[in-house]
Amino acid sequence: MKKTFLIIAFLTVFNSKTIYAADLPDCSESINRAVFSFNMTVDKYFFKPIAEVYNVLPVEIRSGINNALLNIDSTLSVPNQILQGNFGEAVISVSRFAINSTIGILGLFDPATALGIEKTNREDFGQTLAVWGVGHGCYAVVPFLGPSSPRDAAGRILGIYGDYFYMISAGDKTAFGENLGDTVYWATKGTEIINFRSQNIKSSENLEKNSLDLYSAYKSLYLQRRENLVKNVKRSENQYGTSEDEWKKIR
Amino acid sequence: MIAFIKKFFFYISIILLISSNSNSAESNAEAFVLKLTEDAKIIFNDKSLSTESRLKKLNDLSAKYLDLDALAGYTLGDYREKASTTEKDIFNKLFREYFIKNMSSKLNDFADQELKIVDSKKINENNIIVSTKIFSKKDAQEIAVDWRIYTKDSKLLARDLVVEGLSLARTQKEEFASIIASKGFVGVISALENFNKSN
Repeated sequence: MKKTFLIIAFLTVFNSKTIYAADLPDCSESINRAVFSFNMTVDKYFFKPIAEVYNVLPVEIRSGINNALLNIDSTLSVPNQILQGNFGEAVISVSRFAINSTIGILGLFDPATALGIEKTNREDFGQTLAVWGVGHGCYAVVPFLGPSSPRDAAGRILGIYGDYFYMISAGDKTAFGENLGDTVYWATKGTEIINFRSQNIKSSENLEKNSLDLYSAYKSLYLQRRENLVKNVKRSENQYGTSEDEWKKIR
Repeated sequence: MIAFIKKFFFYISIILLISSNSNSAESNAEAFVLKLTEDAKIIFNDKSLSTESRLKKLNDLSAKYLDLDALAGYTLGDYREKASTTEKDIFNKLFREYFIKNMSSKLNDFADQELKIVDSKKINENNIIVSTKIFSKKDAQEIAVDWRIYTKDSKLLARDLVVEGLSLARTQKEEFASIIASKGFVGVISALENFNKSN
């Protein structure tokens, strides 16, 4: 146990590798482009119409669902915050989860923020692997799920089995003496996808309309987002440092 | 002792002067962003404008507030060094038209939303990042938008928008890089020409 802790501490402290989009090889670009087209068709006829209907719901309901999903998602962040050595954030996440799940009625409301306990960074196993120095590998577009990489795909799989919400809702270990059943888990994950899609309808329409190479635009946005999540970018001073060299060449 | 006190106050005054100048640069950048968005809103909320007049007004707005030549250069990436002057001129002209048409549809969605300045920070000699939040009551969403403001000879120009941590300039640069890798610079020119013709 002590040895594991020391390895985690070492990797967390000494790994400061930054990921740049240009460094990510697209080993199977033609296959990726074909899967990307397939995903766009699925989105057009399935996810987007559902998201549009979902957006008809009153703002208060959507806001409550969003809060509840973020609350559930924090069960995945806690083990990853610990694995990345962010123990302070883990304590805050647990406190927020306890307050929002009880006073906040299963997370539908966010009294923790009102009490001054601010949201922590969202963490997943893909980010933890990155913090430990694992590279992306080749860029890959996964059917139905979209842009990814071997590292993030491994993170997703670990995310199912290392997620406390999975354990209480679908896994073998149960919190209430009885399993809630797979349906609860997968229904929540499905709602997460629709919730995310509903928040990005306008921006994705704009991207589709104005992009000269939509595939590359999505790849760039995916990499920028993952890079920001890994580096826990919240404020500009963390984000803009690495991109300055390119701007300095422009006069 | 008196000499020491004089020296002490002299240095304190210098420090205060430098820091007030720096703060003033940031305040100017914040005011610049507010003015830019106010002017843009006027154009987008004027429903009587025809498409041509709107594009003309946006062209004037971009000439006043945006550093489009710098943005064009940035988006060309490594090819910037290899491109001839003629290629750069053709690219800059097409890019300007593409950008304005692109901006027209992008910003149209933000026309009815409220912008609030969060803070600003000078990140190096010529660049200030102004952080803002854009509120949409309709969607109950709050979007973080950072503006990269370039300062040169007391003139301010916007160079990039970073929406929720995603840089529009970087995304565009990587799109062009992909087209250049597969179809060469001619591919970029052709894609820009096709876009401009059909929009």
